[in-house]
Amino acid sequence: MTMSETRAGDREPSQRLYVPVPNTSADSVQPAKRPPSFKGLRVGFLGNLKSNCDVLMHAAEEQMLMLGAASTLYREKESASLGATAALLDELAANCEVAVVGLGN
Amino acid sequence: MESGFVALANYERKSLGMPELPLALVPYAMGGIPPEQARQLAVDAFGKMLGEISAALTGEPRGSAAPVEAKAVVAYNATLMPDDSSFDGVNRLFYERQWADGLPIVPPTVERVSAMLRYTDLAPDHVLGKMGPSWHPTTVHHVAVNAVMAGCRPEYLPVLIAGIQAILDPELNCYGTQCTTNPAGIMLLVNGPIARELDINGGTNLFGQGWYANGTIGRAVRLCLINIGGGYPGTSDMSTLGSPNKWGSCIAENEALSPWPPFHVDRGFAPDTSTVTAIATTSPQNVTELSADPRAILDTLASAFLVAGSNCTYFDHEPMVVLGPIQAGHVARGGFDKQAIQRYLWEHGKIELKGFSATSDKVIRQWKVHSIKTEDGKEFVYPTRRPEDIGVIVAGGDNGPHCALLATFNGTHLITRAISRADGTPVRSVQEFVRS
Repeated sequence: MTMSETRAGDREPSQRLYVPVPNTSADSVQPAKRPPSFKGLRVGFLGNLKSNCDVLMHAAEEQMLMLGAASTLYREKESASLGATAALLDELAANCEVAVVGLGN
Repeated sequence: MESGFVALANYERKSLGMPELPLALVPYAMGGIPPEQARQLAVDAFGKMLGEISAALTGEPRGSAAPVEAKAVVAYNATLMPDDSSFDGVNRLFYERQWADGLPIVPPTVERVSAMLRYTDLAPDHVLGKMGPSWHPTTVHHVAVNAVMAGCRPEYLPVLIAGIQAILDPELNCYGTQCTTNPAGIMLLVNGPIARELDINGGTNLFGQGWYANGTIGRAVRLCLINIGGGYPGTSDMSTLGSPNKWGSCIAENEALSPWPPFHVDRGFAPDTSTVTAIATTSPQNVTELSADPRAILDTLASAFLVAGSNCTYFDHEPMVVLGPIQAGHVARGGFDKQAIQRYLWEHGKIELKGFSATSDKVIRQWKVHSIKTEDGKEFVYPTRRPEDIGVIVAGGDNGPHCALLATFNGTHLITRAISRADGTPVRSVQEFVRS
């Protein structure tokens, strides 16, 4: 099906319908510059409180340390169903060069 | 992240302006298995994910040279002209574009939306907030468009706007409710004179069919959640089973048959103020007690909270209890007011924290930590953190021994907003918007 899109204020058509979805795009966020290697870096882990996410991330912490990371910092969200608090994100940002975040089950 | 969440991850990173944010897929289903087994899998999984993680943490991110863009102008009034403008043609187009909920929609013509917008003194481009997971700005105009599509009468718009304002309060956790695997949707409760003015049913069959306002206002909320919030099943709405409540629902309290002050008065509003309360809940769980004994009625209700598998068993939240008028009358004659009901349900709804699977035991201890208390050397889980976190209303017909529990989603609160003018002054009638 083809269609033509117009804006309000154009000539009144016989059956002009409003689009129900906002026509916006998200602010583009510039990614941080990456280090050449994670050797010697502080690596953050943010668990999402889903079953065994902590087990997975603790195993990853151990492996990252064996592969040369200077240290790791593991934190968990306060609720599995809410986003991380700004304080938690600030702590990870202040103490880690890179971070891994859990998503989903 | 497991494979079932790739679509959600892709949707979210795009919505958040980071389409190139690196993802690493966990190659195994890790949830629900014993920790020792999970650990073995985790070590193996990490080996398989190492390349992805290493590249994500150290590789030069794609798109890094792109400048930060200013927010695009909100084209809040974009229109289209379908080549086939018949009812069937419009519905085919809206369905193909994922703008509908599976039922036929009323075409949102410029004329119908203009008529709807007469019932607000907010500007059409006024932004009520951002709705996740799309994080689109929620303009009054878009709420009106979706209200028309749902079949709402123009005079319903003030209720819907107050409801969307409540939904956009972060304390409701709309974002989590939209994206969860849980079957929760969002229900609206309307209190005060406007509920009666608009004939919003709070009596017989209030959760069911038969009332135009209940059906269309509830449906309009769902359409807003889809079209403004971006809740697309299988992509960003991850509900495993869904529920009838996710089609949308709107109810009133049966204030005329309640022995107690209505819910909005409990919340500090004047009796003649009209309010809308957003409830992020699964479908109503009916609770029947055939006895007229007030304590028997409350005991049965109390035991309905922490049953196996219920949202209430796992979640830190504010559930809602719906007392049918007959049961409410029995309880009131027993000397209970709403505070006494809350206290009784909270104290008698607790269960000992034992007998759960290892996985559920761990999850309850993490998620519901603020509702666990140790008494005489035993650990107990309470329905909520505090008695006052249990909402209580009276609703339904004066004809049966039924109550209901609305088992809400995790991290949600019951959020109430007054139906008001733009300056915050509550209106006594929706007709005030068209008189001025």
